[in-house]
Amino acid sequence: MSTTTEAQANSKTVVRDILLFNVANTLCGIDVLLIQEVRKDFEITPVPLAPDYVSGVMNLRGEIATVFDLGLKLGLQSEMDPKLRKVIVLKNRGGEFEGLLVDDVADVMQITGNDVNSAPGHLTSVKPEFVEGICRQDEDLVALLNLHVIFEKK
Amino acid sequence: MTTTDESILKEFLAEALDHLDGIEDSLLQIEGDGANINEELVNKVFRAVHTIKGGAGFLNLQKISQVCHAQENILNLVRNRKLVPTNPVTTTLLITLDTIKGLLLDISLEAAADVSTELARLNTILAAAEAGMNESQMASNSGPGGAPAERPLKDSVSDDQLDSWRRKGFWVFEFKIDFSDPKSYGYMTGDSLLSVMEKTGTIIASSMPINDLKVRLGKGTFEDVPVDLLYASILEPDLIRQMLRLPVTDIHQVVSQDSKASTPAPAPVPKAGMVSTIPSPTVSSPIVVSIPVPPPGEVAQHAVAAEPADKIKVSLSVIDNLMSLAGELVLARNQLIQSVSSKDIEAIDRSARQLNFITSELQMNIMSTRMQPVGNVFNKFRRIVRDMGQKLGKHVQILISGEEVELDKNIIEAIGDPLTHIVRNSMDHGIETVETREAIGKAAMATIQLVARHEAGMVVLEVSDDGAGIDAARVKRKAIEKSVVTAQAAEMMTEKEILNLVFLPGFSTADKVTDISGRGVGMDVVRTTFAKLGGSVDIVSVFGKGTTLQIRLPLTLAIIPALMVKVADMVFAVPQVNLQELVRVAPDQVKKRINRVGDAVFLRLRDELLPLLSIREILKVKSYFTDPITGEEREDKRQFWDRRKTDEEVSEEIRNLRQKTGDRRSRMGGSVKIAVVTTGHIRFGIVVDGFQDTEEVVLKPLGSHIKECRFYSGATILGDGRPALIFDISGVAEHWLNIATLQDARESISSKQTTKEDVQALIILKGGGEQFYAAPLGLITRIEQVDAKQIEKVGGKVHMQYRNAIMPLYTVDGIAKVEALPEQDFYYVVLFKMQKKDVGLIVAEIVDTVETKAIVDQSAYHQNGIMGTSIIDGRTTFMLDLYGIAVGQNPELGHTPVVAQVAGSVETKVLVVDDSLFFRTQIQKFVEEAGFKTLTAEDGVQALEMMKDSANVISMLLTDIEMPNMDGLELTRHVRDLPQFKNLPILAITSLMGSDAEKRGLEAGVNEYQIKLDREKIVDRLRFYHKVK
Repeated sequence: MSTTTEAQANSKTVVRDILLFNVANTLCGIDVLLIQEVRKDFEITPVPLAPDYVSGVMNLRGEIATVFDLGLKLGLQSEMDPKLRKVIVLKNRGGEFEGLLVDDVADVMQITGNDVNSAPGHLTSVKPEFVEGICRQDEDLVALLNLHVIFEKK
Repeated sequence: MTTTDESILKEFLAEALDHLDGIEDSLLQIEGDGANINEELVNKVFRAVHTIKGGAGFLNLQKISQVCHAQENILNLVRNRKLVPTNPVTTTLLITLDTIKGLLLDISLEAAADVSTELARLNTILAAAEAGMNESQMASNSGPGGAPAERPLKDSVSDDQLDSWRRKGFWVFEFKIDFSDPKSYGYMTGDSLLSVMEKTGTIIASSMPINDLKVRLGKGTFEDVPVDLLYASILEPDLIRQMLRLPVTDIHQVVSQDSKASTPAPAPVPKAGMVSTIPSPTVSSPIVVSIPVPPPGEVAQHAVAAEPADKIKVSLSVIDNLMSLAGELVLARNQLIQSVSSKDIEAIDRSARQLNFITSELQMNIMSTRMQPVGNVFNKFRRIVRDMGQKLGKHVQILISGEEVELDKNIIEAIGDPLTHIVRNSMDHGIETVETREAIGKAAMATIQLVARHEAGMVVLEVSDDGAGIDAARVKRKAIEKSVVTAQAAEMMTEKEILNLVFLPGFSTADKVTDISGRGVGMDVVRTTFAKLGGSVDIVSVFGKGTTLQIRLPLTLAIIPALMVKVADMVFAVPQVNLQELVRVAPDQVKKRINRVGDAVFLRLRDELLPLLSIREILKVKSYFTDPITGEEREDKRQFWDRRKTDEEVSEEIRNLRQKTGDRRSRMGGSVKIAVVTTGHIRFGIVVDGFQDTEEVVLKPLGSHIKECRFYSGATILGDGRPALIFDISGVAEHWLNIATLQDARESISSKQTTKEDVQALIILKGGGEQFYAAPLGLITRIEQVDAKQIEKVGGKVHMQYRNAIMPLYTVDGIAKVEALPEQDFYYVVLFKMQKKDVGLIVAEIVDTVETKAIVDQSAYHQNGIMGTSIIDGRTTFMLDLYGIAVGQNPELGHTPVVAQVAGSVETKVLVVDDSLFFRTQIQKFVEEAGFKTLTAEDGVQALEMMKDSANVISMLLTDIEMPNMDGLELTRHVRDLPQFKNLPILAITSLMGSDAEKRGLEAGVNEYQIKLDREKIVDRLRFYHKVK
């Protein structure tokens, strides 16, 4: 009963750590609690016939992780040399390992619910439905991504 | 319920279910034995039931305990030969066991369950048996019977004393026995009666001192006075009564006044009064069975679905092995660390090898803990077949072989349902009624055969029946009716493809729906289930003769053998289960053997047109090549990989240029590499860029986003750490093979097809001294290139480690007088099967495969291991006798125990027909070695005459297909026209395997096709038919 309101109140004040990263010159962020690790030395094996936003699979210490081209999925075109990119490894709800191919990992920033604004569509180049909210870091706008919506299967 | 109770309950359930599984089989056997009781077996069942009863009593599961108790009574009668375990008796026992099983599986229902019907059924049998027994006993034993005597004896013993007996779990009885007339109790002497009593209990008091009694009995001077006895035993009243064979009225249980303390076990015994006459089971009016008899399959399914605990039993020796391996592993690791730090390459190499060995051992051991014999599943079918046979009024016997073959626990658990479905189908639709069978001259007793065996790293399960078979024409009609296929498409399908339509959803040919099968669901589920397990299923049926379903399964789900193939710079795995053969089409053959019609491409493979899929094309992998003139990288724009110019068509100049620059087109030389795969449903070839090794790969699941493309079943991690995708062959077939266009295309090509000759596919090998050998390709299961170091010599025998087992190796020079193999770094090992095990022949080189008419000259060079010589491609080639080579170097292989059995049986002859003297004598030789007598004929005309002349002695016909004067097919048709040979087993032996040839053969009335010189298989089948007869 009161837990929901408490939770809401908490979400306003509780401090969350957000990992910031760049995808095609767009600053995005996801909660660090979702993240297993960030890898910079990796080899992606392409998977022909898979959806275009799937870059391939990688060997994550004996498990097979699917690597997604986050930029492509968000509708952005990255010009980064693939060799210099990084992979953010997550574990999804089904317990599968997933990797997000991003251009660069920037920083970790702390935010509270008060810092997050609902996303006005025109503020970033990311499709509005993929964005949970917008927050500010110095001069830049950070798009907090809603991964569940992004990787929801139709 | 406390946790301890719960864990005890769980243990009990697991154990009880284990017991039940065993009981069922034994009961069926007991039934089979009839009056000829196998006491050991009955005792086994009795003990099992007793154990369940004991446990149930302890856990206060009264219903189970009651039913078990009633069963015990009947079993006891059976054991004492008072009751013949006829069909109704065992049926009742089985049904009541099912009830117990049902209760065990859902123990929460136990307390509320109503088992009165079960008890009534059991008691009816008991009462009927007792009535018969007692009558005869009463008749001869009128003397001592009668009203219960006074109980002076009881008074001689204090209540306390009796109570102490009872507290120890004994029952106390009082009865009168007339030792002077032991025969009335069914004993030879009074002595033996007394000794039985002393063995099963204790005589507390007697109206005559026991020693006195013994002396008198010994002297034989016993007066005709009944002796009163007070007797304590742990056996329950009904059991005591049966054991001592006392009339019901003569035995009394002495119950204490305090009834609570009186009965040691919570068995349902009346507890009123000081002494109660034990109620004899009342003969109630005939009982109408009200419990629905569960269809046997459902019971089995239920049982599989609801294993009570997720536990497996592992033998201690396996654990011990694992422990010692773990020790070795640590040792090897230490060695490795040491040798790495000292940078001693040789030591590292040694440790790596050691690690490799330990890892495979560990893998094998760990896998073995999950392995269970397929017999666990197969044996359930004895009951199913029996019950269904009864229900359907069909006489069916079930032959089971290969129960010891092991599969992963998960697979074992999953195959129960689909196999049940297949067996039910066979019983219901496949096997004809007794009347029909008799009318068409088949044996009234039909046979269903369940076979399991290892084949090419997989397990093959076969369910075959000798029933009516499937009418392909009807399947075709139905398929068109239900618009599963179009009429045109159906017209062009081969018989095999038509039969495979039954695996499509919603397809059932049963005219009427029975409660057993025919609801139009099923075979598609069967196929999907096996496919999910990484297996495949194939159907072969001869209308009028029977149906065989062949299921291929991997040994385990986690690790599968796979062939690694290369496409562009990617490596993929093709599961071995799908793999049939590898074909390399030489550049100058491409035009001749690969045809393109519209979008479809075909390979001419022997007499078959095999659809081809290019993985490159499907995956849309761009290929690049270096321009031979400018030297720049350019995309290869050729649309058709099969449009390869033969060398003659390319100008000399370009050819030279290409060779110089190492152009891809000269390097891959245009040879097309094809892996022939099957889904069980359809066979096709996938074109790849290169073949690599076969490996045991660990299957890892793919993410859900990739799964959707249905092209991969998973991924694995290669030795270099890179992931490799595993092809899902059925997914590939489903999505990329367009059956309809294939049919059109096949039609257009096949019209141009040339007729074939009686040719033999041979593999040409090279031994020492540039000597060429040839062996029938059909016999060879695999070829491996091995490092000379891998070949080990122990005790004069040569072997190598192959797939975690020791494989014996042979050489031609080990038996025949030919030059020894040259010293080489690498050898080739040609694998073939001896007694279902892999053995290998070492040769220096693999030269080629050829299809030749194989005219073999047996006059020269005929010696052990060599059948004769033949001129192949202008070279004198020795024809190898692979079996001779193996047996010559390992005589044990030549003697199978079965030989003696067959030899000693009824005198019948096998007629061997072949126009080639070479083949005829070869076949004759090994058929005779297997213990059969033979007759031979040169062609169909001669054979037919012989059949007419000596109809009585010919029990089987083995015939070649291609022969002058009258070929094998015509011979078969003529033979089938003769009434006495309607059911004669006819095996066509051919060097040409192919669906077309097979189809024509089956249409002519041949029972089956076998490859010429596949000695083991042919002999195996001969024995099978011999047994069936």
